[in-house]
Amino acid sequence: MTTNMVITIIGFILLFIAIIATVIIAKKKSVSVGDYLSGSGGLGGFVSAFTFSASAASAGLFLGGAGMAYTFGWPGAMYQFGSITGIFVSWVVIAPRLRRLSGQYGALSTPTLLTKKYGMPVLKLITAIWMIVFIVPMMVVQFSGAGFMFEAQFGLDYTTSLVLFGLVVAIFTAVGGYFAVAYLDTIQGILMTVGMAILVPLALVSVGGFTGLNHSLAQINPAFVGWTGFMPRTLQIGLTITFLVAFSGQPHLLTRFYSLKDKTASRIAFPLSMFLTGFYMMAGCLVGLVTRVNFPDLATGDLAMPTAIGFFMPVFGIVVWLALLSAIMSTVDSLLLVAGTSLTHDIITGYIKPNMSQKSELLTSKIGVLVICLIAFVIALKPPALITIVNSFAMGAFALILGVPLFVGLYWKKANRATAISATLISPIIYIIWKQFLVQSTSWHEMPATLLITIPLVIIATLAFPNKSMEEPWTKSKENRI
Amino acid sequence: MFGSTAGTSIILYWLVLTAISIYISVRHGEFFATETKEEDKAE
Repeated sequence: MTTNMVITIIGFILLFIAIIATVIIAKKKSVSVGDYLSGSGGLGGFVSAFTFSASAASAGLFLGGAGMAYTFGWPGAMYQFGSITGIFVSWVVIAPRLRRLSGQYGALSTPTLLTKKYGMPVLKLITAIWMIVFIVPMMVVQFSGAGFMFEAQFGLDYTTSLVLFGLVVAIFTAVGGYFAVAYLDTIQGILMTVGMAILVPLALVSVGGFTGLNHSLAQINPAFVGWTGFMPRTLQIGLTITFLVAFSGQPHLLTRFYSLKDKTASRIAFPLSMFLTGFYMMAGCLVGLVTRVNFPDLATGDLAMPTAIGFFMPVFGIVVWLALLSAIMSTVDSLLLVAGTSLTHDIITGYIKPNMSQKSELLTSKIGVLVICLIAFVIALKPPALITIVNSFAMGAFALILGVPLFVGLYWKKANRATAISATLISPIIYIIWKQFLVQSTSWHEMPATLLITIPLVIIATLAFPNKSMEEPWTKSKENRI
Repeated sequence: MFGSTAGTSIILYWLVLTAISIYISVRHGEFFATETKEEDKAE
């Protein structure tokens, strides 16, 4: 048995022990539906920061981020200005008021919160359906990523890889619930941090440090060290705006705000999340850029990260490989739990059968998680090309469906049912139509275009259709004011 | 700067926002207080 194999087996055994341990601890802590679905506001700052950052860092961030930097140089990393600002804004603008409002209404999920805020039960159904529609393709992409990684690393068949990964994720999430996801995210976040903290310095040293990297890039192509280079402007501006607004509407990240225990937890989690998420983003970009210098002829930018791992860490590369797998798993289990919550808490017990007992709701939640996982798994067996397109704008869609009504509802006293309908029902339709039919003819990315239409639309609808009946319970009552 | 103004800027931007987040957390902790959480009231 080679050293590589021994280290790989040890790595997997340790990860497996971590998974079982977190499930056992979480089972003891989860006594109510609230505990199972969103931690009932019981997480400290350290765990909250890691679960937020690990959930935000998906396969797309590491593999795709490195790929963009590999293909376009620094211009391919400039959209991270939007990502970093987006995270900052979500913590400063959304988190504090969201926590106050969720505490007042006792809401466990964003659809429930919006329903109570706007006094509109059907809103729960609309937002929950949109969430499932967009989360499933996001999960499919993560499943496919994990399948291909197993296939590439161990030579396992794609379907077998998918079955193994799907089973672990489904059982883990259904049995453990939110606490298990959060605790495992913390372990995986630490693994990701350690993996990148080893890989990035090794990569930078190989090209003569940060300055040496830039000089080498400039020699390949001077545009690689500039601001815009030859990256299409539409793509660069579109991605920047998408990531800027997307972090305020991601359902699996918003859940992290509901579960913060208290003020102290927020004060620890906010700066730590800023540091960690930014670090993962910068690490992905730097690895992509160094790989461009060392391996300029790769077939596709997506190979930049795996190539760098194989080259710089031939023996301990399994640490980074497990970190990448962790990035996928921490995202997919968070997405799965949110989709399961939408299905059971928001649609079944929230709308169809509201008088369900706690015990039945808990069981339904677990079945919901398994059903959503099964759907994503079946689609992932043969992922259609359209899935990638849907996934790429799912993040932006959530900013419109959840981010806009949340922001307006939290900060504008005149927000009413027309606000909610225009944001959650009309804006995603505009977004999808623009993506499918108007991007090429107008050269405008769907996100800025939809925002330019949606913002005036929401303002006009809000002012044109004031809802008097809603004002009484939600804005005239002193105790319900934020 | 360091061979790429763009590259240096994005890294500095991340570090500056992280520093601002530390400042807000340390000096303006009341910003995160909620009236409904018992733990926050106790503080």
